[in-house]
Amino acid sequence: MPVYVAGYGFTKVKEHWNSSLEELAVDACLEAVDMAGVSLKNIDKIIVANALGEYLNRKGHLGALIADSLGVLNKTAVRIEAGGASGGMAIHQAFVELKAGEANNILVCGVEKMSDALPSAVYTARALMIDRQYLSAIGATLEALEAILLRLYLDRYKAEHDNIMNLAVISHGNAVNAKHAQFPRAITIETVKKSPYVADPLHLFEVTAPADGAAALLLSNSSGEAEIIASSAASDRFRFFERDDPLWLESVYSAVQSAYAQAKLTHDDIDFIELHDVSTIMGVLELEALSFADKGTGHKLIGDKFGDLSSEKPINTFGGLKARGDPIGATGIYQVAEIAAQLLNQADKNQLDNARTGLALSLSGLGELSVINILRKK
Amino acid sequence: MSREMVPEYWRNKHIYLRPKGTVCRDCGAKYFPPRKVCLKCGSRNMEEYELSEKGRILSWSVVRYPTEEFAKYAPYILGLIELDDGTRLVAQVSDVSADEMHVGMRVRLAIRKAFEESESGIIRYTYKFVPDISEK
Repeated sequence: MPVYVAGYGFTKVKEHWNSSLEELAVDACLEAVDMAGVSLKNIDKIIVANALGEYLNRKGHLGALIADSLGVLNKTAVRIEAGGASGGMAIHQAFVELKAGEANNILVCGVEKMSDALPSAVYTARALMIDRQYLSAIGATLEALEAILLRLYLDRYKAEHDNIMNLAVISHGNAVNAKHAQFPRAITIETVKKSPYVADPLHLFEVTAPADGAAALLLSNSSGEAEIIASSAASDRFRFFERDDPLWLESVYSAVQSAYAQAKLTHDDIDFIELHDVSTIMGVLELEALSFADKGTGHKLIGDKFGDLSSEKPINTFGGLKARGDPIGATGIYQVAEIAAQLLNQADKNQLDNARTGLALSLSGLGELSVINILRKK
Repeated sequence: MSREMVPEYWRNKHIYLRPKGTVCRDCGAKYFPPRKVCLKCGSRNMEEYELSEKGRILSWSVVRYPTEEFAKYAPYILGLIELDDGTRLVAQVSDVSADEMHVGMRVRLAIRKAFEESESGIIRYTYKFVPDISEK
């Protein structure tokens, strides 16, 4: 059975002081359901993606909570938590069931509400995505580990840090006209350089900011113009320091190779990419593992006028994690909703010419888990 | 929202006071953290072994926005270290300032305070690394 995006919806990514987690989720879900023209009673299952609800909102059991808030009862409702890859993984689970014909309509909703907690709690919550016993319990944070990878990369490949920072510049440039983006404004390398270190040598403007947001997809096997043609997930060594090469994202490589094989295509056939640019350095490593740059050369690609909306291979077409924003559990759903918008010619001022095949990478931590979803215009 | 986890620390304190790895009796592969199954050969014939106490810095960062447990101690240095037996780990690097840090710097194991759970709570200790001045 084919799997189509029959409808999508999302809230603007920002600090939604007056909306609760479930209100945001309902807003996005209703938009997706209405676009698809599917009645709530014809939804077979709800899958909710959320990464940090317990820590940031003191809310758990989100499958049944969101289903009730939406008024969908007597159906399967489940929550997926897979760190930063929660959104991509929720789509993957829906894909597997729709492919198998176990359901006809699955509502996938990602939501994260980060503004309820102080920044120190957000850093603590993000650290749940890395190992407790050997990393966060001895003082590591996710951002510091990314910074360690950045320094390792700069040292090994003699790379210019400016080139790596350029990923943030590209993403912000692509967000300027994106109505739902958290930071719809252009920045320069100087802006990045002047921002303080979040963890040396990684600057604050190289990582994502806390955000609230919800995005939803109505996935269906009956009809649609935007088809999910491949979906694949893979895990890697949980502690990056144990990997043969800490600068190689094996989970991204495995997941994408398997997705390329499923879809019978190669990286050359991908027209645009939604990266999981949770930091500049992770975005660079991802481009290498996705085969868009050779190992150790991603920094040159990024530094070389790559990825804007009019380029040959656009990335982050509404700003990516950096500029559209990164409401963690919702992020993977935003990515696929944005790809669907491109394929359906609904991307407004961000519309790409001739966009037929788009790839989304949803990743957790330092690549402990990666999910690839590839969409194609029917 | 710090919650004391006394049993967790009690159970793991041997790890933090003297980190140990495992070595595969069949193929000799070494692991830190310890594993029950060898990733290289699949053997379950693993035994505990003492990690090297010395190593070198592969990379490092300065933690400026720590988790709540470490809030009082920032900024502090976090290093990626390769031990002389070839295993790697991440640990705080003490007794050195950030501008003295460099790739390849020799370090040795030390036991230091990690954090205090609360004003009246337990004081957690952990392995950290310090410059190995004996080799200068």
